[in-house]
Amino acid sequence: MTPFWKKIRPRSRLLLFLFLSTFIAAQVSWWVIYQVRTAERVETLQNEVWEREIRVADRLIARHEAVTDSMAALLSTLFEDLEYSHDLNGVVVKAEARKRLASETTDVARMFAMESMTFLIIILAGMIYMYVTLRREIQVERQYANFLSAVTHELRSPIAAMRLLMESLQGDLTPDQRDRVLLNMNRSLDRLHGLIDRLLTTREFVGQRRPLRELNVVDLGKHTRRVLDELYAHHPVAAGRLQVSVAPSLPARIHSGHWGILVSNLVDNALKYSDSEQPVRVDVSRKGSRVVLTVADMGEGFSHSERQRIFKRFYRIGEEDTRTAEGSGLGLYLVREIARSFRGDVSAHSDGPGQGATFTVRVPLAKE
Amino acid sequence: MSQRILIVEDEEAIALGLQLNLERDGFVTELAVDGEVALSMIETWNPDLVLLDVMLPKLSGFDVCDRVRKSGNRVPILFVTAKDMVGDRVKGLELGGDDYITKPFSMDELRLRIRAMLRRQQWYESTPEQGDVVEFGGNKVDLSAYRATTRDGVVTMTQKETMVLKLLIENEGRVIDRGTILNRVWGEEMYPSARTVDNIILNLRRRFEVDPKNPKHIFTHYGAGYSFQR
Repeated sequence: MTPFWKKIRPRSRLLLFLFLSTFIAAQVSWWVIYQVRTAERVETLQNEVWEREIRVADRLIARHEAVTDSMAALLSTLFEDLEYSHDLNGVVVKAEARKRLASETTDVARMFAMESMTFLIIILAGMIYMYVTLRREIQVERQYANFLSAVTHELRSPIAAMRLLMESLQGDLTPDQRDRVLLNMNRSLDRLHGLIDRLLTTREFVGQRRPLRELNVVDLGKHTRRVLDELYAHHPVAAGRLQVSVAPSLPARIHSGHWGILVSNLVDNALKYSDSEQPVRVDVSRKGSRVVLTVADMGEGFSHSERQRIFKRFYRIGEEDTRTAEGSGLGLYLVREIARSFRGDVSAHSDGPGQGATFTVRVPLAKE
Repeated sequence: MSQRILIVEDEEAIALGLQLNLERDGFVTELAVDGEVALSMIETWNPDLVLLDVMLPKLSGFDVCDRVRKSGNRVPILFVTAKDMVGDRVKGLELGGDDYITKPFSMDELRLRIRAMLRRQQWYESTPEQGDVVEFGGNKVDLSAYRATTRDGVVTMTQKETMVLKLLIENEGRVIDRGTILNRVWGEEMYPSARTVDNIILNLRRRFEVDPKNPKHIFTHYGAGYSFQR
């Protein structure tokens, strides 16, 4: 059964939580104020008790002409916080009693101050933790909705295209039109295949920390070139934009299928997010003890604030209604997870929107 | 003369499929690959109907529709989109879209909708027997200009208000049921809500009747429909 709070929308939960937190903080503050006031009242009451005792003692003294030692001793026994003062010819509150009361009051106030501070710190920490968690939940929910919308779009569009293209094949077409129809049907199939691959691979990586498949030593230069040749066999225009440069002998311990996904995600992005005439550079080279793959385009780029977010699952740049490119928000997430599973990493650089982007993947060089 | 359809679609495969099929059906088509190109082509090419994708580069389909309507252009707009959220449908219609079809769809379905929309548009643009300008109860309505002169001065009517009034005027003295009004003005599958016709009738009475509670021209026949009398 779903707990009742799960039925409340995250935004409402956040508001409810903020209201409750404020209420609890107000209650703790009120409790502290109440305790400090109680301590002050105890001090006032004690002073009043002493004043009453002094009045009683003064009456006793007034009945005698002089205060003898034995009487002074009796007064001390009757009123333990008072003492007889010869100079004043009356009783006064002992200095140590006043000191004790003052120190007791201070101790109580200090104790409540410390306790309340501890309470407030705990409540504050809890509030911050809950706030961050709820905010994250709202963010995840929003990203998930975006993801579903993107995936729906990604599934429906190629199916719609194939359906329309198949219907067009039922009529008379010129050889040139027929070729275009078949090419576009192939691309739609590739797109569907790519999406399903990304979804399945994401499922493999979510929540995992270790390499999931057995890694083998592969020459990354040769393998990358092979991946690109296969990927763009049906896309002559895209293939024409690629400027590939590969250094010889670059062994690395990887899973060749996952490396293929990593390369295709980065290169697809570079092609998608730049103008159709602009080239995309793919370099595989050696830097120290690492093999480095860079994919650079002269396209849309991204702002500095988006640099870290682009690797998050379901994150996509831009507004959903004015997307310039297809995608599911999984591509770069997978790139990062795959790079990590090879004990490598990925970084992104852009001088800002419209300034192009460069993605760099580094994986350790393996001994052959 | 062949009717012209502007296809606004950024995905080459879908655009190609639409173009080949529609051209085979005898339509003349042009392609706009983003929202801005679409706006300028609607202006310059003057299509009879626009197939408008929602997710477009530069300017979304919703924005394109909004701007087209705000400029006073009433070309029929059919949203063609992979989005299938009720909210999106409502948004599309509120912004002045005439119909909404979700990908993937068959060409037969698309053909039916396009023909129904073009038929409706033809009726919208046709002149009733009574002429384009109709006078009743001190009001003067210009059905072609969507404008009326009432006791409150000159008012601009919405397309739907004008079409409901036109249908009633064309059938003066006869009772027209709600279903017929919905079919003729909105199209068979586009019932926005059961109360829509009632609301339009209320608006018309507010505009044209001296006392909307005791109408002298636009009557309600409970359980049957509405009628008009000059």
